[in-house]
This record gives sequence, structure tokens and C-alpha cells, in this order.
Amino acid sequence: MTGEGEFIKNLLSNKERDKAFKKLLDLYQERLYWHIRKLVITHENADDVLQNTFLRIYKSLPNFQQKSTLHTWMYRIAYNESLRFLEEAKKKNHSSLDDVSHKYLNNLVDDAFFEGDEIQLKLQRILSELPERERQIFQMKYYDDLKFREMEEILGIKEGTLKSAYYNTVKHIEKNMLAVELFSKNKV
Amino acid sequence: MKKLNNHIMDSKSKTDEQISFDRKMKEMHSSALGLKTPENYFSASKMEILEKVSNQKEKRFYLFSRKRIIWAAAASIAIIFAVSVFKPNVFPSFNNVPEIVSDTVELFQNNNLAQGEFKEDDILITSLFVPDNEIDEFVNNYVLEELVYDEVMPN
Repeated sequence: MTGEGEFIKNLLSNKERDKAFKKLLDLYQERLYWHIRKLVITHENADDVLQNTFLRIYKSLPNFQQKSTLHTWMYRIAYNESLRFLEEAKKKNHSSLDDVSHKYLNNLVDDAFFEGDEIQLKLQRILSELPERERQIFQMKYYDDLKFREMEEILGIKEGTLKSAYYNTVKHIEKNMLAVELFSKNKV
Repeated sequence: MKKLNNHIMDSKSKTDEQISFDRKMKEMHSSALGLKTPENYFSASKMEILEKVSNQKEKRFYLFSRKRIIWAAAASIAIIFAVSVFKPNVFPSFNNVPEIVSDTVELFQNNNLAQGEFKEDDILITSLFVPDNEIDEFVNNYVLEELVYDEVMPN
């Protein structure tokens, strides 16, 4: 049995689960945090969602059927928990999912855990102006370094569609960032 | 819980490759997006998650116990009610009692109910004879105190 196979076996075993879960936390906590943080934007929100994600993972472990890799399965849970969080915020504010993201982005400058300069803030703004789905695809590929095949499993979108959406988004961002840089240079 | 946390502090689950991957992610999010985390955030969050998981397990155990107790309480009250309504003075003869009630009573008499060898559906139907508030009152006033105490401190 491979190292990963043995690890999954321990996660599924009632006797070994707690010990294996601690290892799982060590291995995936940071990368899932960054995945979530980009979706819900502020640290406070990401902290809430990260905790819910790991509680959900622990609760769902006995039902993990290994149809996907552990890695993809956990990303999907983190992604769903983030969407659940945004949906709740949307209901509370009677607004759309995009509006909620924009609201968080507008609050980003006040977030104690955001240290971006003008260019970084502009990039955040360009990202937030993208349709929700395109933004998620770009972030998963560019920052989380996920494979298109893994993204297909997480998002339920065909690999070909993902690729074309990603490349169009990259072009859009490059064009807008270039405009920002030119604007900044002219300003100086 | 302390023991669990110490284990984490002592464990070296991450390989150098994983540590460097996490560091790279952190740097990238900081330099490209300006995102950062509070100092020692990840170790504090890890403790919190483990504590919540541990609390959730205890809560689940408690809910499981409470559910069993409520079923038993509902069954007991239903039996008492059924016996007093249908045959007030002839306990334990149940000729005129609905079959579902008499079956439950029989199980109870044979001590099978206490051992969980009964069908929850039967008890559910039987408990329809008893108003919810009476079941709750019985559970709160008597059964919870007695049975939870027995379960947590058996001797």
C-alpha cells in the first residue's frame, strides 16, 4: 500500500482517525486557508470558513469513498463551505453573490491583514469585477496551482471550458493591469 | 485535550517539500495580493479546530444518549398511559389494548426494551398516544438526571 493509501486507511479507521486527522491538518491547513481567503477575502471570514471546513472534513471522513483524490475532495469541501458562507451573507444583505464579493473587497483596505499597495489593490479590484465563476477559475489555477482535471472535479465544469475561461481571464487581467501600470507611470 | 495538542506540537508531519510549498504560497499571496495572517495564526487555529472537533464528538455522544433516553421515556409513558386508559385495573393483561401498544408493553416486560431490541417505528407510533409536553417533562424531571448519571458514572 502506498503512503497516501496507508494515510487514507488511517483516516477511515475509527481507531486511527484522530491521529491521522492531526496530520491532515498539518498538511492542508495553510493551502486550504489561502484557497478560502481568496474567495471570502478578509482574514476574519477566512478563519470562520477554515474552521467549518475542517469540522466538515472530520465529520465526512467516514463517507469518503475515494472517488477523487483526498486533495481534491478537501478542496471541494473548502470551496463549498466558502460558497455557503457567501450565500448566507447574500441572504443577510439581500444582495447578489457578486455584490457580496464587492462589499468584502471594499472593506479590504480596512482589513488589518491586508498590506497591499496600489497595484495589489488594483489587481484585487480587477479580480472582483470578474464574474464570480471566472474569478474562481483564475484563482484556483494561478494561485492555488490546481490542475484543470482537479478543477473539473471541484467545480463540475468541463476541462475544455475551464481552459478557455482561464486563458480569456488571463488576457483580460493582463490588459487591465497594463492599463493600470501605464496610468501609474503617467501619474508620476 | 492537552495530550492531543502536545502530540501536534511534537509531530513533524510536514516534509521539507511541504514546508517550502506552504512558504511559497504565503509569499505569493503576500506579494501578489497583499494578504497576510496574524502572527502564529496557523498554530492557534489548529488548536481551535482540534478543540472544536473534540467538543463535537462529545456533543454527538450526548445527543445519541439523549435520543435513546427520549425513545425509552416515550415508550414508558405510552405504556403507562395506554394501560391506564384501556385497562385501568387489569395490569398486566392487555386484551383491549391496540396491538402496537401491547407489543411494546410485552417487549418492555421481557426487558427487551431496555436492551434496545425494539423497533423505533413501533415506539414512535405508540408515543403518539402521549402529548409531547408530557414526554419532555418526564425526560427533564426524571429520566435525564437518572439515566445520564448512570451512563456517565456507571458505578
